[in-house]
Amino acid sequence: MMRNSLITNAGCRQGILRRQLFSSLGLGGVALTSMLQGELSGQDLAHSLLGVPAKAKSVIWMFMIGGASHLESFDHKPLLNRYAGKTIEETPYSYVLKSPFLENERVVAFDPNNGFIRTEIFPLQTSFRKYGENGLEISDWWPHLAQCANDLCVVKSMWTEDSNHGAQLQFHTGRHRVDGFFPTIGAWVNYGLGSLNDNLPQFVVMGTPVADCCGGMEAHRANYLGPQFDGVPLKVDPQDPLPYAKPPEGVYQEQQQAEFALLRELNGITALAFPNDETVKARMKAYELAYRMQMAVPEVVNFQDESQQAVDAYGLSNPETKTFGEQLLTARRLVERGVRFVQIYHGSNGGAGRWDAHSGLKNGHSKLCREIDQPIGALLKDLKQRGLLDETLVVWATEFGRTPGSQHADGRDHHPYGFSIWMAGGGIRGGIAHGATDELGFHAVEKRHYVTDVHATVLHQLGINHRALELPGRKRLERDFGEPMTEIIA
Amino acid sequence: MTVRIVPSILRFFSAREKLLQVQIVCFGALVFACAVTSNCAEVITDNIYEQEVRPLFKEKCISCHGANKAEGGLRLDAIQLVRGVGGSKEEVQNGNTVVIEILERVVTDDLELKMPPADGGSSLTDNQVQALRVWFEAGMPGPDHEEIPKGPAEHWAYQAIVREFPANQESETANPIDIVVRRHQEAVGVSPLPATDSATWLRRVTFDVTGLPPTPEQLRQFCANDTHQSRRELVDQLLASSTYGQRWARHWMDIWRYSDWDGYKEELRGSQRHIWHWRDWIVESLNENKPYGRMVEEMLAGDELAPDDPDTLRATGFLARNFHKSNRNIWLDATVEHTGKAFFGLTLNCARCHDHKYDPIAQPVYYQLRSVFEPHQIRTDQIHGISNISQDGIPRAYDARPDEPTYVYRGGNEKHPVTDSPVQPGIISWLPGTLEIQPIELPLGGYYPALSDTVHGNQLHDKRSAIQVAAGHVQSAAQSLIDEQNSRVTRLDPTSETLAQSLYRQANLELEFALADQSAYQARFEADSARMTGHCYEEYYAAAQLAAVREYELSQIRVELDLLRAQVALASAQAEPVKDAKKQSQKLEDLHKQLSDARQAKAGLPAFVASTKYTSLGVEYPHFSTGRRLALAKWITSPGNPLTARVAVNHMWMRHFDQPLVENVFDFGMNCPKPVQLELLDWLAAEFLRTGWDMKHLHRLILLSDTYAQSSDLALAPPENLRIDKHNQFLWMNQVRRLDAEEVRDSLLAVGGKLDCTSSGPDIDYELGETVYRRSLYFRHAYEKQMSMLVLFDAASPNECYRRSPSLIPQQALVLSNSVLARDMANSIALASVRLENSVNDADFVTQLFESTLGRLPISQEMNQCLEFLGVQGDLLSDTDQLHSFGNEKSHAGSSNAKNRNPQAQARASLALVLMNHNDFLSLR
Repeated sequence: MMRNSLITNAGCRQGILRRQLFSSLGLGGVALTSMLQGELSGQDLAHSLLGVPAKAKSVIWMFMIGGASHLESFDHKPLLNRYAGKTIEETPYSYVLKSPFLENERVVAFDPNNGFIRTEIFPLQTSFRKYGENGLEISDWWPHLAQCANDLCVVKSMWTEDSNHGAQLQFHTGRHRVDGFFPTIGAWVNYGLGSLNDNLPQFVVMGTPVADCCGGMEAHRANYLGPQFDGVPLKVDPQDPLPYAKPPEGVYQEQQQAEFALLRELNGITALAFPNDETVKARMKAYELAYRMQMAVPEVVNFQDESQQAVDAYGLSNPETKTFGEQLLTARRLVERGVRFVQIYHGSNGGAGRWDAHSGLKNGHSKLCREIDQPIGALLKDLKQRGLLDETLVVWATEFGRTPGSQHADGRDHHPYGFSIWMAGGGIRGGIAHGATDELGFHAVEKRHYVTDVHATVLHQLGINHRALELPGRKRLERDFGEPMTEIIA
Repeated sequence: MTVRIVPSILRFFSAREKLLQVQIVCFGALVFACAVTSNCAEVITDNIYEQEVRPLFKEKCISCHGANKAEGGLRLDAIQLVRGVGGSKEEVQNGNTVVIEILERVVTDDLELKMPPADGGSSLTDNQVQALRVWFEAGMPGPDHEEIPKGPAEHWAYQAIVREFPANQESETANPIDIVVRRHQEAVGVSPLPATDSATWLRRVTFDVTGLPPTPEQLRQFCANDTHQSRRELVDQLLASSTYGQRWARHWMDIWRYSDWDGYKEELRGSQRHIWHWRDWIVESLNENKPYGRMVEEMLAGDELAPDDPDTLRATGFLARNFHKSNRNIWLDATVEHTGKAFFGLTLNCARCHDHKYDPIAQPVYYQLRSVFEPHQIRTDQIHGISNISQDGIPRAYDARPDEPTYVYRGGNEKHPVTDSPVQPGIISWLPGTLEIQPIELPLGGYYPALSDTVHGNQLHDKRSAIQVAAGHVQSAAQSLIDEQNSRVTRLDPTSETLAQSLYRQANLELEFALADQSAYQARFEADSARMTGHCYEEYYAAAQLAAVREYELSQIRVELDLLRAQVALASAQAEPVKDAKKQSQKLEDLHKQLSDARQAKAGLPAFVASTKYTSLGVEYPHFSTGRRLALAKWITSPGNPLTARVAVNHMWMRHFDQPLVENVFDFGMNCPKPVQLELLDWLAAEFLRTGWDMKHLHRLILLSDTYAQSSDLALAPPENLRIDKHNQFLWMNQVRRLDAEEVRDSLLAVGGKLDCTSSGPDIDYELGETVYRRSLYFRHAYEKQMSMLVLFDAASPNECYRRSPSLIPQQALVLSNSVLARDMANSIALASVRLENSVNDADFVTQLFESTLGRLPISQEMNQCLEFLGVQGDLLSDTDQLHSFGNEKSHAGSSNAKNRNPQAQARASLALVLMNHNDFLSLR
């Protein structure tokens, strides 16, 4: 209902006063409070203005690169075993091949190797069991996650447009690869909420990003919102966590402290000489922040103060789970310190992604699940134990599902018509499945959700009126906003 | 940990907006309750129009019911027009007016009646329908009148550019820019700020023209003699410097979407390899002051204007840049969209799926423009001296398929082309000028590049080199043979050939092959020439026969040679000592196979039959270019086009003042309000046209104006200025501008004394940005291939950047204080200052540092701080054992500081780094 009225265009410069205001605001929330609002608490403002009370403060967003099979994870379709080897036409469900939903597919380029409807039904490669109070169905490849079934909300009725891996980008911007680049969900959160901790970047990215075939860095960029809202790549390495996070070798801490002290003095002299130039003050602030960030970031990825129990729970001593475990442990440490959005990629192989199971699905997916299942289970339990799960929305997602039909005898092709994601914590109802695909797991048929509905839900839980996220001159379409999945909100 | 939720989206929250919010919430509740009491409705509905109804009309209705069309006689773009058809409150409530029809038609299921129609956008939401209903029933409250939007016939940007010379009797020498600006200032009652000081002006103008800081020498010289004359001379000198072209090329590269090639691993997916030739063309064209209009024409149709001239062909990189491997529609959509935005400021792309919502551009017009580009494709031409186009070459446009039809896509969806009526090329009919398409006959080299002087020269050169190489091999093989005979190798089988003998035979055969290859090439060239130039048939017939003979001869030598090579390879492999039996046997197996293949090929060579069949040298392209793109270019650059010059001067103005005259630099359409400075814009545009698109002239006028020389210090502003015009629309002051990304990096290099201003050449790997000291525009700039240092300072997105928006983020501080580049430059400055031959004392060092980094002298307070710092920092760094490194262990083996062990020099490096992090290092005041 309120559109355009909360946001003013950061890129639109009408004159000096606004300009200078803007430059001082480049620091996001920090500059806003310290320079304009004084000590005014943002919390009251946030709640009254945003209209939706915030249920979550932070988001941990895990993205599986390549397209994780919904059929072997959370969307149990036993009929695939019954009709295995038959074509879809031979089943009573051949109507799925005439569905108007097929029209939603937008092909960038014909690719002879993938992006086809595979009609010979491929049996399920693992079995399912029911977990939790409501008997949520989860495949056997997720034993640790299954223990947290009461916290999970599985959305089984996702759909997207791109039948190729540009869908990775589409999942984050809500726009097909062909439409170009747009701000991503993490950037909107960063833009919309500002900071809880001045010493850390607010939108942190871990894991090898989407490859440039499929959107590349644009899957965590802010595009027209400006680079201050981009996701900042973080390595789990206390020696080298951020680009430019420390000087080249041979520079001493005391030396740099003295440099920064002199810089503050000199900029201070300039600030006095030009009292109306807000930029000088904002830049001085930026240097203070940078210096603190330089000190704070290595501490986040240093696990010395973690208990052995935690280290084991996240699987840090097991080579198979170590990488993802470290990333999730870091993610917890980040949200604990107030970071807003932590995006973690899993499954990069420099191309389409390791989840892209055109063949060898059983071996491939079971291994990938082993890499992440234990760390995810540990994360959810850890967050809960620390009382953080209520205020941290955890999202597990992928760009599309996989075909009910087989490809190369033991794999499945890309499938944009119906797939699953899950959310946990952050005020989302646990232990439920939402929406459904048809009998074959082909089309999302009940409570269909395009990818931006996930964005809208995330924003809603963070207390942001998603409809207000629009900049003048940057018209967004209805579907870019999406709608929150109100039924799954606790 | 303090937890603060600081919503940055609340940036411009004001008390008034908060009030509105409350009212809207109240309104929303009422809508759902469907209980509109009269009292409350009065309160609420005051704002419904502004908050809900007007935006709704704008988004959903006025493209058909507004100034452009007024379908069914209904206009909804001003409140009194709606009231005019809507009637009184009572009439509405009694249900007998047009508004009832509106309310019915926005909700009906009848597709014939439904509004907006199916191809006109999504239906109204329930809340929107309710808002409309409430507003109608409340008697359409709101302002009494609104300005009735003017039709396109009256839109300012569509009017001819009128050159009204701002006559000023009092001062004949005054700059016309100042005359126009001052007159408007006087009219509204603001007064301009005084001129800024010499040093600030010098720094401003030097950066604005060259993207580089003035040197301390220039600073001293200029400040000692700052006169009107010296300013004029300086501007001329800067504009004549090749660094002008480098700086302004980057500006225009933003607008024209320069991108180096991108792709997945080695596969080309977007833009073109070697597109840097286009970048070089931009730099050169600017430096030689090529008229802007001519540049536009060359970029759109260089192949039609000068098909023989490789230098001009480089310009069509503008088109080649849009290449998209996987989808022609994406390719052409980008071409149409950005031709419109860059050259004439219209958002044509909005008409791809439906009629333009604001401008009178019907959907088919979009496809007419696409049709201009439909025939063109991209190919890479050889350049002189390099026949391998993967190594170098010029990516260029040409018309490949003159008859390729263009179809309107229903709803913009390529799955639904309207194939029964292809569209013809066209332009925007309501703007002056027509599209005068003349097919262009191409010269031989244009349609048959194999016969061009360049390719022919490259081929002759390659063939000659091959012969030389082969002859060299014969000589060395002969020497080996002599050596072998001298050493009297004992052979098991004296009848068989030694390896050296075989190799000698092979070398001779290879020379024979190279000679035959040259002859065959010559014969094919003659035959192709005879065929293409179409002299007499006999001549062609004879030449073709000869080419066929030569080719056959060549093939005979080839099979011989292949056989011999296979034999020699096998023999030498057999003679080798066995290291790895398995590998050896595999190798021998392969060589046996190769040998038998060669035998077969030789046996299978058909007998010669006289014929005229030979292999043509290359691809034959159409002999005519459609002339469509040239016609479009001529339309764009015709003096009667009201948009082109205005759009261009606005871009130039913005880059000098950091504030455009027309806010949305790529949309001058109906959505763009009449600019406050229209008279100035028009004067500049007219002057631009009058001087034949002379860019340097325009720069000179701007840079020498008093308006440009004004101070940027807001403290000097009279209070009424802020009251009357706080957005500085009347240009009474200058803006402080942050340097662009490239200027930041180039300045670091310049003050470090390391900048390499070499022009031209292939794009340099972006990962070398901190160790290769060329200017930033020469580094790779493509999707996913940008220097992160530049990205953090808001470098252009290769995809689209008509205007940069500078940010201020902590990572910028980290780059400037922690990058190897910044530290290396600081060390370089420090080391130079302590070198014996030109060592300076601390005070002189500080002075020079301020001059080079900030373009001014230090004030005494700054000087004292810096001197004190040098002392303290020197002491600190003289006992490094007490200091802590950033790594885990204490390490002295620093790469950049290791060579700088002198504490005095280290302290100076520290100071240099501090000044390269100073706010004013990044700013132009």
